[in-house]
Amino acid sequence: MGRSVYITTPIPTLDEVGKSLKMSKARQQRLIEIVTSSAPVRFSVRRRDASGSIDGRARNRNGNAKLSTLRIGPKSSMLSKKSKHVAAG
Amino acid sequence: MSPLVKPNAVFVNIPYDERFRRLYLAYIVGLTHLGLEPRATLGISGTERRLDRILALIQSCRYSIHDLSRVQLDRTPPCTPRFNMPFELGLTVTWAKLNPAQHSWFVFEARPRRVQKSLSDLDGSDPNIHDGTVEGVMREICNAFVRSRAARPAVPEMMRTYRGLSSKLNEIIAAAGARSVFEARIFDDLCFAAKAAISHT
Repeated sequence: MGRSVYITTPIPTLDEVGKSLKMSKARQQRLIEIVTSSAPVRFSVRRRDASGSIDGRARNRNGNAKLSTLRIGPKSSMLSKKSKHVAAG
Repeated sequence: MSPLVKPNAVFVNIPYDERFRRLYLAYIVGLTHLGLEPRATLGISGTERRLDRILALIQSCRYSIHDLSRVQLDRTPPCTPRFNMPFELGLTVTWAKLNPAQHSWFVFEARPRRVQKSLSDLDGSDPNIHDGTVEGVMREICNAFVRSRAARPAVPEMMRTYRGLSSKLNEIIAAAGARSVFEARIFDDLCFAAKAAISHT
């Protein structure tokens, strides 16, 4: 068993690798496109003043849920403590 | 008659299962970074007996890596250990003993000192321990295959290529209409894609 070997062979080019693998040019091109294309970045933006906020409710500048969107009644238990405070005030 | 030995080709003897997917990709990326050409039994075609084709593949490669880290029982019933890797290592050792100038082999393991128990016939040989991590595989590939300083890739550089290719893996599988990374076509695609990713950066 070798502990380590010293490699002196030339590093093959992309073309040579494609030929060695007997790949068609079309297949090579498709793979190059996949590898070099930038992946679509998926992320969500949580804006305090938009409906896409943490609890799904629109918020005012202070980060409190807007009164117009507050649910009053049995579902108020879903609100955060801060929101409840605003609702009570 | 023995086949022509490809000076850059490395026979990669690894388990083909989903739990090994990350390390499988790591071997492809790592070897490609070093300018070597990974070869696996996945790519074997033809009508000859499988054993003959495996032997021909080993003989055609200048180097080989035998990953003996999968010593657990296979979960699929009937639960058995996989003997393919040590068997192919045995074939390789015989070939290398008879033709020392034509083949060099390496044993990779995840845990230190385990191979001394699982395959004590290898006593006196030092396996490369990759800790079961992608970075470990890259590190040990660099330890096994040494290039001149100018052509020597750094492990962080190899990791960047790995992460880039890993993020495209599903797209490559989908483009080929394959179901798994452990298919001959995908193996070739990944070897080429790894080279393309390296050339692109």
